[in-house]
Amino acid sequence: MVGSDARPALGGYSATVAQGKLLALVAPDGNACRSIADAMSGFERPRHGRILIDGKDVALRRPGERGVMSVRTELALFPHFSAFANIAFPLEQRRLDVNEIGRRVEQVAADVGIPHEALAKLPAALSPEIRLRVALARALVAEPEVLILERPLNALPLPLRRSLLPELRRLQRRFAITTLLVSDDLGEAMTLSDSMSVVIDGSEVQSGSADQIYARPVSVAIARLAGPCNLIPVDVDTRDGKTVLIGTALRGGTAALPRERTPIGIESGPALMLVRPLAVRLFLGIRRFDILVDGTIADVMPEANGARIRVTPESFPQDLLADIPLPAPTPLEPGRAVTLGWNRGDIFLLPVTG
Amino acid sequence: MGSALAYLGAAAQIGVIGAPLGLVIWMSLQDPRGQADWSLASWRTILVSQEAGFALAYSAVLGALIAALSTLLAIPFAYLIAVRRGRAGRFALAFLLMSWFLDPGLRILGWMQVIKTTTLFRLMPDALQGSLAAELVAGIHAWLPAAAILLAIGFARVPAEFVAAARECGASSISLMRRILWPQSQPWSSLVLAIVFCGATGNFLEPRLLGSGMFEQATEWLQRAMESEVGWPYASTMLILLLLAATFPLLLLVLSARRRS
Repeated sequence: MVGSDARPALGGYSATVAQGKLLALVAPDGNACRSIADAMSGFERPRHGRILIDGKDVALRRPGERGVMSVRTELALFPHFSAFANIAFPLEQRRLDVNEIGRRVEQVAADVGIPHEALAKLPAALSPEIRLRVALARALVAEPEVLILERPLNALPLPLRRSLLPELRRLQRRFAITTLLVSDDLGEAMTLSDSMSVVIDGSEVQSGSADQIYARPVSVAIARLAGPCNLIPVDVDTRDGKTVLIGTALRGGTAALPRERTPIGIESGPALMLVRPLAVRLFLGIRRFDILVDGTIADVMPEANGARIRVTPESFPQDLLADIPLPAPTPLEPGRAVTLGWNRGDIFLLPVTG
Repeated sequence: MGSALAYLGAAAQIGVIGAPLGLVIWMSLQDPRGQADWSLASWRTILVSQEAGFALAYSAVLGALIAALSTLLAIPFAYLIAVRRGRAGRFALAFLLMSWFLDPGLRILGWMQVIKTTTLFRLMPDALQGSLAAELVAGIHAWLPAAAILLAIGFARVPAEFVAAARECGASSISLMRRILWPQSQPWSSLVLAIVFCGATGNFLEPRLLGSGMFEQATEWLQRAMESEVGWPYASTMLILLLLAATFPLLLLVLSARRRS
């Protein structure tokens, strides 16, 4: 257990990260993220339990003696050191030969993508992206057994965060280092991780691959954490071994659903139909959809690869989001009547509670 | 409202610091008979006096030694209070605060009594009594609590993430202090050194209690001049010179800060 009894950051949790893989631990509470990273790095002692690295319990070892290095939101680059001196710091503490330190710093800086001329500069003179790379290089040069990334991109501007996500993933694979990403951003974690756990109020609520968590969340909270979603109230019934959805939202009133799209426990009664905006399309009478909803465009929001529209349906009061690739087959403007459609394979049912 | 308060503050500063200083300067311009002496006789006498020069220099050297050694010895306490914290840190903070607020003169008198009435007095080398070393020990004893607490304030201002990052990189306490805390707590640490120097240079009680006998300090010279009925213009002059000598490092700090900015 990590944190206090009254407000545990992590309790009753067990996970294994395979050598060279990246496990993302997602906790919506930023303080919980910090506590978990602190416990892994040795700045906070777990109240119960063990932290095993390569089979050895390191829970009682001091920071610096665990083979763990971290990159935190603040980056914590020493402002009075040059980028080179920052990267060299862990090696200097090991009293390595000066030439060896120079060689290793140059090597890791090149691998991480730090321009040579940036090495002589103070952190304040570097761009946010290069600062992040320097912090990564300082962590990697020490050749730790485990790398902790604690919300590493949170301090960066949003466009830079998006562009750096694939780069972080590339570096993690390039160095093949066992990594624990602790984040409050499920979307970021989904892009970076091999596997992930979602922790809410100190307990794991779901684990699995990014795809599983995105497409089959166990609760409304996780569905929302994973990204924008449409949650449409429906009634569920089971007829002839098939799940049937009944709701005013559906054209025709009902729709049958493959059994694998229904989580165990939802047999009958009220439920929420989850459909991601990416799966919702404009119905133009050509392509066949299993579910159709008529409505009026309320808003059009330009996105990187298209436009997100908000549609007010005729048959129920909750607006729907749809991501439409551009160029759109029909003009997208507020007030225009449209029909949205999606298929049964894009639906996942969620319990109303949680 | 704000500017009125600022003027009021400035007036109070002039009243508290400026008025006594002005009075001392005026007194330094008097002749021993109480007549105004615009020939600056006492100033000329003291500035050419080897005895007064040595006294000032000796005070400054002793002040520098006390400042350097007190600050050096205060570092572990400051580290304990600001970085390690915990129960030991809290205890150290409480103890040092208590020591700071208990008058150093009382502490020194207490220790003198303890030493004189115990076997410690017999064990102590004769050369230590009334020596430079004795004054140095007393000065450090007097200034260590203040130096430790002021340094701890400086160390506590260093962002915790720097300390955490350095420890994660495997830095020892000494390395953490030398490479991260001390540079990062500048210019605060230099200010602490300067404050201790200012205070230690102008130490009044310790030289009287433990005076080395070999070298007279500026404060002893001052005391001697004041005890003489005709010497107070000289005492005032020496006081001003002592004040200038003691605050010299502060002046250097301000100048260097202005140059950096």
